[in-house]
This record gives sequence, C-alpha cells and structure tokens, in this order.
Amino acid sequence: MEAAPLRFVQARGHEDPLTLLGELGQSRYLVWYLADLGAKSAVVEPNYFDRDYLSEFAAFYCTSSAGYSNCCERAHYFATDVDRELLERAAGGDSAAYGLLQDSYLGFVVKRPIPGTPLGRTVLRWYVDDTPQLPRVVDPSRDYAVHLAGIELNVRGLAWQQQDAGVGACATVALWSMLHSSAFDDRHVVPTTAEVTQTAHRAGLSAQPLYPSRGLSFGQLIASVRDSGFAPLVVAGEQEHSRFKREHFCPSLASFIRSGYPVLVAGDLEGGNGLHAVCAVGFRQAASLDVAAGNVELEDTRTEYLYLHDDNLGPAARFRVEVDPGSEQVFLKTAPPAKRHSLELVDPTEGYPRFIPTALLAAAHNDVRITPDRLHSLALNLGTMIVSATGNAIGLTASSRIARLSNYLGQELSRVFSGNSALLARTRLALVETVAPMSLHLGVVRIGTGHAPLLDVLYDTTDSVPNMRAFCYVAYHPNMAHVVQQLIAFKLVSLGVEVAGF
Amino acid sequence: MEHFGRLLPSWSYIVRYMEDMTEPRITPGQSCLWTTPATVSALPLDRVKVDPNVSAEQIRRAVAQLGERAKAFEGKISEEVLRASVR
Repeated sequence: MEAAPLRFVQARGHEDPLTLLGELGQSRYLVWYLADLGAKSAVVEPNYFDRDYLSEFAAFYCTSSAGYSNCCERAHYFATDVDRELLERAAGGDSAAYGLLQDSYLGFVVKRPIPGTPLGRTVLRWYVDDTPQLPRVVDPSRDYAVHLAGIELNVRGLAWQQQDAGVGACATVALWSMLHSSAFDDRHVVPTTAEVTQTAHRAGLSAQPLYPSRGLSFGQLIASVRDSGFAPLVVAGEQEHSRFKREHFCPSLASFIRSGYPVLVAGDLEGGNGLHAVCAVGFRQAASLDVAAGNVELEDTRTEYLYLHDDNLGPAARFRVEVDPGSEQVFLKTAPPAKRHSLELVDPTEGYPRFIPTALLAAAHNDVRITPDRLHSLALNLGTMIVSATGNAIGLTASSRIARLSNYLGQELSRVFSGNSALLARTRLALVETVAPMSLHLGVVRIGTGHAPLLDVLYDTTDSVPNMRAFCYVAYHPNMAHVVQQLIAFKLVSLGVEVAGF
Repeated sequence: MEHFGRLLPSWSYIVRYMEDMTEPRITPGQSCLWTTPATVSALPLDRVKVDPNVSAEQIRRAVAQLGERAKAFEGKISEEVLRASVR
C-alpha cells in the first residue's frame, strides 16, 4: 500500500466520494442530508484503517478470492470551504483556523472497499433544533472525537452504517448502533458488527450459517444483547400479529430514548420486504395538552415523529407515527422535514414502504430490570387513583424514564426547580438524607396537569416485578401531597417516603 | 443590589428585568412534563384536592375499569416474535 496525499474536494462535486457512488440509495440520502446541513467541502483521507471494517475483514472478506483491501477511505464534511492552506494552519496550531474547522465540522463517512455495500461507519451532526421548547430528544447521541492530521475534531451523533450482507444484516447494524449509546460511555467497549453477529450465533442459537449473514431472529438479538453484558429490555406489540396501538408504542419508545437507550425496532416492511429492523435514535417531544377531567393520558402517546437509523436509507431518517384507521395499529411512514437546501435533488425517501413495528428491544445497564411497560402500568394506575380521589375533578398527564440517580438529583431536579435555588437545595438534601439508599438507576414516573409536573415517584429498578417498590415520591404542590397521603391512608398504594418539593 | 440601586436609577430596572427573566413563561401546547419547571405559576390547582365523598372502594373500582387499556402494558412476548428472522 502506498502513501497518498489528502484530497480537498467540493461537496457534491465530481470528486466527492458520495458523488462517485452514483445512484446508490443510501448515498443519495447522505448527499441530501449533508446538503441540508450546508456541506460545502470535504477532506478525504485516502487510507484509513477502520476498526469495524478490519473486524469484518478478519471475519469474512480476507478469505474472499476477490482480493479485497483491508483499508478504507474516510471523508470529513465541512460547512465551509476547506482547502490545504486552512488545514495546514490548523495543523500548525493556529487557533482561529482550528476554530473554523471545528465549528463547521459536520461529521464523517467511511467508505469500505466493498463495491456492493461501500458505506461503513458514518457519524453526522444533527440538524439545528428549531423548537427547543419541544426538543428533539436525542439522549443516546454521543461525542465522537476524530483525528485528521493530528487535529482533533468532535461531532455529536450516533454511528450508522449500511449492512454489508456478508458479516451483518439489518438487525446486526441496528444492534451495533444501539450499543454505541451515550448511556454506556463510562464502562463499555462498543462491539464491532462481526462481534455482534458472532455473539448472536453462540451456543446453537441458530441453524443458519454464521457468514454470510442472512439475518438474526429476535431471540438471537436478545441473546446478543445479554451476552454483550447488557440487560435486554423487550416491549412487544399487544395486538394481533404483535402489532402496537399508539398508546403502547409511542410512550414505550419515548421512555427508552429519554433514558439514553436507543431502541431496535423490529417489524414488517410492507411490499413483500419481510421482517426488518431499524434503530430508533430520537423523537420529537410531544406537547402536553390539557386532559379532560376524569382522564389520565400518557403524554408521549402524542409523539408524532421518530428518527430512525435505517440501513436501507441512512442515519436519522425522520418517520411519522401513523395509525391505521380500521385496526388502530401503528405504522411508520417516512416524512422528511422541509428541505433546507435549494438544490434539485430527488427525495431519497420517496416511495419507501410503510414499516409496521412488532417489537422493541433496548440494551440497558445490567442492574435495570424493569421496562417502560411496568412504569406505564404504574403511572396509569396511580394517575387513575389520584383522579378518582378528587372525584374526577381533574385530568392528568403522565410520562416515564429511567434515570441515573446522579442525573435525577443533578440535571433533572435543576430543570424542575429552575429559578428556585432554595427549593432545589432543600429537595436534593431531603432525597439524600431522608430516603433509604436508592439504586444506581431509578424508574421515574412523572405525573402532572397539562405540562406542569405535580409528582415524581422514584422506583427501584433492581428487583423483580412482584417485589418492585417505590423509594419515595416528590410532590411539587401541597395539594398533590394531600391527595397522595389519602391514597396511602386508604392502603391503596405504597410510595415510600414523602419529599416535599414545594 | 439595593446599594447599587441607590447609586444608579437604572439598576432597579435591570434587577426587575432579571427577575422577570427567571419567571417561567410557558405556553400550554408548546411544552411538556420534562421541560416545564414545577414552579410554573397560575396552575389550576384548586381542583387538586381530596373529595371527602370518595371511598377507597370507589377508587379500586376506577382502577379495575382500566381493563384492556392496562393489559396492553403486561409485556408478554410471543413465540412468533421470538422466532421471526429479521433481515
């Protein structure tokens, strides 16, 4: 292999590696996505050893008579014109040049030397969020540090790649994306696609050959998560053919993602495409609306848009959650946001078939043993009790997440008590000093009226369902505390210690 | 702050302005349980109170009436899903 200089090319120009891939669907999607991000140029590393591809090469491609190379190409995209002079200045320590590169850095695409499935590990920045009051929830995203000629550049996203159909199928790459989650930053080495496939085939779990990979069963996916050192949390559709109603699907998915866990969504891709798997990496937060008196609503039921890493399309493809009017079952339909560029490009998601989810799988920390199903069941029951105790005078909203104890005490309470530092301090100290030691991760059920929180119940995540208990509840208003006290006096619930957040 | 207020007439305006900035301004329908502070003012909380005429048995019945809605969250996974091959 010979040394080769970096190449400085125009985005979408004839030397752009994505342009060179021609009409490949995923390549067209990436061109569109980068155009929306305002990509102007790319710096191409002609020789790049990619950890995932090396693993695929060692597992499969090295024995092919095609004589594949073990070396990839990596293209870095920028929202400014980057030329050799700018890069030289940054490489020489010029802080202004470095700042310009970092501010305009959009992410990277690895191109494998596999002609049929060239798109390897890809991390691109998210679009700007235009409605932060109802944010795009992308908690699983993480920071990736990349090095270009000794210059460290950072991009926040979650890795995507095209299935190669040799080492990995769609389920493999969806699982691989999941295990990149920010939630596991502190104690985990991300497995390669080859390792994911090998783990799934351990101990006679499949009668299929290991390579070329023809897909994994859902049972194999669960085993692969477990054997990778995580707790597999499954939520299955409750309708005929394991399909979902909206009230089950949206809150479950939102709860996982809000907890920092990307979700493998398995389901039927219509049009004779069979079973498919994608990785949900974000959703657009639904607005709270005033709920009619006497009712309890799971707030996330209104979730309208999801962002999916679909290996057929590309990273963070926006889908709309729709409901079949007859069966009331959920299906997902591509619904890209209005384009931000003025180029004449064909919408790469046009004509993509409907996707009907049947099961969700998340990889959680090993000590987490409860699913959003359990939290939502508790939320519905408790909300109904509260509403009923008031003589159906109010309507309530409810939502859930799994949170690390330190994050709940830190960021979450800080947000809830925004502008009231005395109350924030008192509540934090009460949680530490008056509640028995809590688990590392908490199941948080939040109940409110409209958009305003009234009550958090903090559940132990480390026990079995029959033994599951609440450590405490934080009431944000004295009236709510009185209602809960009445339920406890009636012996209808056990919610642990009361913490007054008012 | 009061000391500065006596020296600079505009200071009291700045202080009031900053206090106003910290008061949450949330429009219903544009926020959610995870982004709204609990200190939001003007909540209709006068109705959040125990109705003395409601018994424990009535509350139990209300929960039981959740029926099918609650069953959706029982988390059963079918053999069909486990064995399905995802490509």
